[in-house]
Amino acid sequence: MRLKELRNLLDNKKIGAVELVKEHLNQIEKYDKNLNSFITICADEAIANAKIAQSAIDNGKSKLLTGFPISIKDNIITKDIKTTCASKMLSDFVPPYNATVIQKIIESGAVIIGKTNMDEFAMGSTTQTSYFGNVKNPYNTDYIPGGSSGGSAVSVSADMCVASLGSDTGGSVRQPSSLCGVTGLKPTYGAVSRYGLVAFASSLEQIGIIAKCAEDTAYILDVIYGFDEKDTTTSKSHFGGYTSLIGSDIKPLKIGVPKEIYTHNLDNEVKEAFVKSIEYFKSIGTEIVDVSIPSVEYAVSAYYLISSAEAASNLSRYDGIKYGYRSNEYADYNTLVKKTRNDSFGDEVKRRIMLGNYALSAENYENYYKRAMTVRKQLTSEIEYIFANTDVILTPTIPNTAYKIGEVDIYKIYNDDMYTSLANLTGYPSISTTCGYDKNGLPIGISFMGRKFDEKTIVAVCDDFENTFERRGNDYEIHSGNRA
Amino acid sequence: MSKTKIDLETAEHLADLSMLEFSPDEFDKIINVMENMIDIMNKVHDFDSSKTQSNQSFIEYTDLRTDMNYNSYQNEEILKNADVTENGCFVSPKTI
Repeated sequence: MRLKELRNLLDNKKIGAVELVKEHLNQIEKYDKNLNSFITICADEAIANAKIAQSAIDNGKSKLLTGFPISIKDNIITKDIKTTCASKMLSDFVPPYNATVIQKIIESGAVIIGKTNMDEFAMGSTTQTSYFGNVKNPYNTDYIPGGSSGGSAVSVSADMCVASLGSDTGGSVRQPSSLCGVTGLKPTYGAVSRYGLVAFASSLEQIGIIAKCAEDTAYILDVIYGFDEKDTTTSKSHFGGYTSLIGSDIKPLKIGVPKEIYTHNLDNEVKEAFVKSIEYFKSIGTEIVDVSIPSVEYAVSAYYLISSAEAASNLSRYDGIKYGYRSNEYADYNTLVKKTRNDSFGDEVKRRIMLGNYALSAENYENYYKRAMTVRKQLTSEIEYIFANTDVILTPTIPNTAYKIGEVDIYKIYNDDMYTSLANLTGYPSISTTCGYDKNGLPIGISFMGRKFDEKTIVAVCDDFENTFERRGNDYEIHSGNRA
Repeated sequence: MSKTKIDLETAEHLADLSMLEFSPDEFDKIINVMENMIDIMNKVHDFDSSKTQSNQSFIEYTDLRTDMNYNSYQNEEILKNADVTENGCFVSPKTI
């Protein structure tokens, strides 16, 4: 069921806000011990807020999100609700303020149902690096859900909320959405405020939306987008209306397919599903054109260099003094900070900080960081050139489906970010949805990248595709009552 | 390009910059992983940067907000997340 339909059901009293929230809390109770997608469940607060939402509905004062149970990735700051970043470092951190996006969804009536599990500090694409344990894929619990917003994707896929806010630094919203059979939107850099998003790689990351379909992601983007004086990288040049092109004729659009995608370890089943998707667009008369991103082969190395460098800088704030974990064993300031960070950061976080400092060190700066920034500029030029004559760029979301838990090759998984990291390096919006299933029944993802601040076009194209593709459910879907 | 090697001295220097500590065994492990990751990063050395005019980011910064006084947080609220406090202050080991 789409959010706009759910809005109608709530506003027409066919379903109650408290009933809706309780149904999702039951789902969490029933399945999340196994899936482990939540770090914090806000049961009491959610029911209390659902009552307030119902009262607004009863008084004819409902807003776009009134009564909707929404989960939040645990690196987005929530006032008086623990925000841990899935790290021992922040395992007891209770923020005194809300992120701008949280303020906006609360003002729109949303009910925060809980905070979702993730890779520690959003560093990873498996959700296996959390201090709070591994998250499992709802389609098959032997497999990873992807990451770093793995808990968010699982919470939507297993019907434990109607949508989730995540963050996407190199594909962290789209990749788990792809692996968990849901839809994930990374907006244009600057479309959504990052104020209150715990910083990992500030020039790459955006808060994104995970939901059951493209229209739902746009529905929520209409609430959270916008200029924010607390984030000077937010733009004033966008105006909402992200669902406005849904249902329009997409035939006149030109869709570009980069020729390079077929040469980079593309899994056969993913390739087959991707080619079939292209055939669909051809069949309805949309023009498919070959395009080229010659420098795409450098995207992953540039992404890891830039993100690690920014991580080294951003995470230097954790010293154990003002907030967060603090070691008891120290003789002086330096040993306090070192011991604190040593005891409370996981291996992946330590590796990225070390790599970031390697890339930024005097002897390597020119050869690594500066060169990575040049790659970034070149990729931006190549994508800009494509969008001069093309409306949408189509790629697989990642070259494969989910890995089995315990069988993840960290070096291979870095290279899987090739297509997703493009949107982060260049700032363009991108949305991922399901386009097939592999032999194990695991979802395969396809991504639509669009022009800057033109989310409405990719949402419309993605929505059109979703209307013709029959998604398979998983065992966790709610099949009872009005949500059937 | 041959694989980049990280010697112990470099790793110790990086650990110092990163404000991290490692045991000898942990150093062996992290050096190995870092060398493999640097191998992935070394791909940027194959990139011909001569045709790219600039390395400037696409990020545009909007005007800075007016510098005005706003109500801030109460002291107690800010100190709530600090593990050790004294007389309304954070407590740090002596540095001077």
